[in-house]
Amino acid sequence: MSNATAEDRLVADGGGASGGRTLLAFRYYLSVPGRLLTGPGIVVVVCALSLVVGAVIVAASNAEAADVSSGLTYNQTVIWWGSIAPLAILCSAVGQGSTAMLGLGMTRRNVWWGAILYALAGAALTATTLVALIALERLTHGWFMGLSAIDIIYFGRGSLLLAWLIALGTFFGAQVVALFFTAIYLRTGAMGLTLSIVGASVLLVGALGLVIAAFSRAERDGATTTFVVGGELPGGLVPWVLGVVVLLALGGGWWIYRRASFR
Amino acid sequence: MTTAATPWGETSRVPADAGGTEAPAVVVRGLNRRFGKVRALRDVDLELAPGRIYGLVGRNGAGKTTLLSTLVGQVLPSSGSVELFGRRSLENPAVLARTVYVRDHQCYPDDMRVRHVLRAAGHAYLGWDEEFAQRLVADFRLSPKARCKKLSTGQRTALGIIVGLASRAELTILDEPYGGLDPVARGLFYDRLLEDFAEHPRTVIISTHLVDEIADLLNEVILLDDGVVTLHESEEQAREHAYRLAGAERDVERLLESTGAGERVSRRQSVGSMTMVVVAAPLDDATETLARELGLEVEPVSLQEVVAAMGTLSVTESTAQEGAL
Repeated sequence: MSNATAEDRLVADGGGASGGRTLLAFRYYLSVPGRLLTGPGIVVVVCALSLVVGAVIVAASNAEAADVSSGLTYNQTVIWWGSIAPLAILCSAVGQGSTAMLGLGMTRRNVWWGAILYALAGAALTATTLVALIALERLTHGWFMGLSAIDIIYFGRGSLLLAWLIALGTFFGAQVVALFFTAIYLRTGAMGLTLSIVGASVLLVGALGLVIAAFSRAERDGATTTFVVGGELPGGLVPWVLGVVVLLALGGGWWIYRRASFR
Repeated sequence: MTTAATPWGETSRVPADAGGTEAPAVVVRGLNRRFGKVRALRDVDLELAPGRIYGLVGRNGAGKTTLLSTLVGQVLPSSGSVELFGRRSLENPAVLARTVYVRDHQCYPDDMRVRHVLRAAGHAYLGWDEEFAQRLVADFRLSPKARCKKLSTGQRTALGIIVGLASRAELTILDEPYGGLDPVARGLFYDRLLEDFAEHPRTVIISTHLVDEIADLLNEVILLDDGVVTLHESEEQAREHAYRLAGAERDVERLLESTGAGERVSRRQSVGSMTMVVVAAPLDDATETLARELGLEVEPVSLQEVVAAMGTLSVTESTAQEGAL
């Protein structure tokens, strides 16, 4: 079998070009059928649980549904659960599955960008499920009980498109940042991971301190609105800062992963 | 074609010289790999013809896994080059798509089951034979529904073997593909490998410590010692690198002294006045003649003993050098 013949067949099958093999890596992550449904499943469960909790509170106390709802709108459960479980699965797939995927003839480029593609697909699916539930909640006026189980303030409580974008960014960003640390672990081992987490924590605390100091000063000077809204930035300062963090994690993670050796 | 005889009886015929005059499947030049102060590979040069079964042997820590991992780019070399099918292999999807590398203790994500692993492997290779894979699953008694993290060591090894064989990749690399396998399963592996290789020749590299079990499958042997390739020959030629001498102790010592082979003795056993030694050196005519005159028995040794002999001598020489320093 000549090299040209084998390569021709690979290209014809989409396997010769790196893009084709990245899709192969994406299919590898999808080889466990339920994986991609973890995020959407969690969103549905959280919605149901919040509804049950709200209904129990209304039934057991004399509270009005509207009062209970206003409390439920600050419930962050769907953000945390909807982020952590999928990212744990993806990090496990990359961390434990890298050698298997590389052994099947994929490159580091395929494995990494296949993971990013998978994270995007999963986040999109989760965000779509979330928005569908929000729409349903609004249509049914709070599940016929006047309860806001899933239409929380963190997704805007306004435009469904905005909610979808916020959810997509949140769930995707969480996975990308987690993959960044996975890449550090694969490249440097447990010590490197520990040091990077400690370093990131120090930076985070420092950044929070700066934010709080700046916010206090802005409040004192009557410039709070400008600070929170971020001047001319659409959506405010926070989403842009988080967006930059995610982009750095995306590029930085790839830069680290591409030089990892798997012994 | 020659008949390959395994410890489990004769099996399929193996192409004696399937290499032909094609370009090498693997070319390694000046390969070095350091891990901190440790030099795992030292100036390794290697050329492997296509369509042959190679055995990569050596002691623990010799660098076998590092070499195999570097061939497919899983370990990045410190210096040197690796080409597969005439092209650089590192991060080259067109080249790597023609290879399969199964590690010892290959791990899979916790949520994957056997059928998921096989499904994923099937997507990766144009030549994947699903029917063959399912036959192997039945042969090795794997349950397709079993979770990979619940598999025993032997079952996990079997899964890796199935992926390696059913992929029909042009370059198939199996790193110690016997971990945890019982003798029956190992026999199955050798038989299936030979049968499939006869029908679908490809380049196979197997690293192993069970040299004698696999010796009859091999076309060529590569011995790696402390990161250096010290032997790369056909299986028959490799066996000529050592021999066994047995007889009266004084006659054995006399022969060793007069031929200078005493420095190459890797193993010695004495019972009463009788001694047996293994000499890690080719048997020349003069030594053979003298041995006959002295009434000593001269016998060939197994490939495993050659590997052990050369490995033992390497340790002895290293110790002597350190002592001299």
